[in-house]
Amino acid sequence: MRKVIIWVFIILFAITLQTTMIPYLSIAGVYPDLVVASMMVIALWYGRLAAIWGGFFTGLLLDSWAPNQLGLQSMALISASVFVGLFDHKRINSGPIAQFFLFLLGSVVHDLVIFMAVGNYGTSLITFILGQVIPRALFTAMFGMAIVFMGHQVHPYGRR
Amino acid sequence: MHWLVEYILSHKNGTSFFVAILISLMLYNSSDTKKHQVAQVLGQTLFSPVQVTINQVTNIRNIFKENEDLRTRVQLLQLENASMKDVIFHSDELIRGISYRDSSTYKLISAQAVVREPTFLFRTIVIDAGRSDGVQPYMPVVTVDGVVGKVIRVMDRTSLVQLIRKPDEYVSVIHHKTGSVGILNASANDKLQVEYHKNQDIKQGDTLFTSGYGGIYPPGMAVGYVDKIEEAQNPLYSLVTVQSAVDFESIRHLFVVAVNTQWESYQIELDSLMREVEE
Repeated sequence: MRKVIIWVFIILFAITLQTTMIPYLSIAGVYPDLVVASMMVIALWYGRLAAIWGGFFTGLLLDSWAPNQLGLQSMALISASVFVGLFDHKRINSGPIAQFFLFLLGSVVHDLVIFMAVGNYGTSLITFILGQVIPRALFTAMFGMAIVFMGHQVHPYGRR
Repeated sequence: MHWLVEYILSHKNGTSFFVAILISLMLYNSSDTKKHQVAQVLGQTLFSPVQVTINQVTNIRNIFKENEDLRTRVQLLQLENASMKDVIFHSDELIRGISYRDSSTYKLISAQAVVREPTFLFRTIVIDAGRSDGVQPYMPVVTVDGVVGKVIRVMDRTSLVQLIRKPDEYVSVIHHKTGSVGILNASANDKLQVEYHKNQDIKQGDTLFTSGYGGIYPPGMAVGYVDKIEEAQNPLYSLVTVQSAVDFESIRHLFVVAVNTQWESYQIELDSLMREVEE
């Protein structure tokens, strides 16, 4: 129960920041996705099961604000967080650089799922990946690492 | 069926992933109407605790703000209340003063204490009535309750008043029941004291009035109440400690009694003596 409360708190906090402050951090129209970063961190800390259901419900929560795409964020978040959850702390004790690349790839997976589902961004896949996905993934991965660092300061891995 | 449950339990991650993705796909591929309905139901059921929490947090934030506003309001009201109490207190005092002035046989000049010595036991005060109001030196100063002191310096708009509790101030007082007269004076420890002959029937609580013999204070003004009766140094006398009729700490509204001193003929001589003392 304690874990679920922590997930809910992290996700709600991330959504709040994402909808209020994060857009101000935009660089050349690219800004990080803190919700994706939070979900990937939860996946890394708590494993795939947490990643699947956390991603599912967070996605539904986000989609319920824009019901035309209901289910899309769920799929994208589940994919990204399950990808990161494959390398969670229970299975692999990855270092910071590996974690950064995990978050980077997880964010790319998230955006690719959305691209494939929507399929029309008015641009080619390569341009989209290079111009949008990779910069955002880098930004998101940095935020993910920041969350990991803060979490590590509050609770060492063994106690979480 | 048993094997299915067993499979699900042994492959929790895979089954969860499959179910979650399947539900997401089904939702994504459903019609817009259906999506809106689902979103509405989700909003009302699954995510209502989140919304309730957010609402509660907002409410708590409002409560904090409201609490702060109320605290500020309470402080303002307390200030207002204190100010109103002050107004009520002084209006009562003024009403008593007006009635006293109207019933007095002497001409009274109204004044307010504006300055007092910055000491714990002050012995002089400055009032806001002076020569232009008709105040003259040695005029007695009183309140509704009794004698305060006398004017010792007069300026154009202010005057300096010496209180009867100053050790070098002497007031001739009379005990009405017995008719015995004594000289009231403040002792070194600032108690008002007077000596009376032992055979006089003076009791605790009796009122002492000005006798009119001193030349400064007209007769019949309350000075104080007998507080304590002790043996005097002279065995024929009792030392009576007097509680002043006036609360010097809360003096504000006063009256200068416009009577000329009976010592007027000696005025010039007194003034020159005072100057010599000051020099």
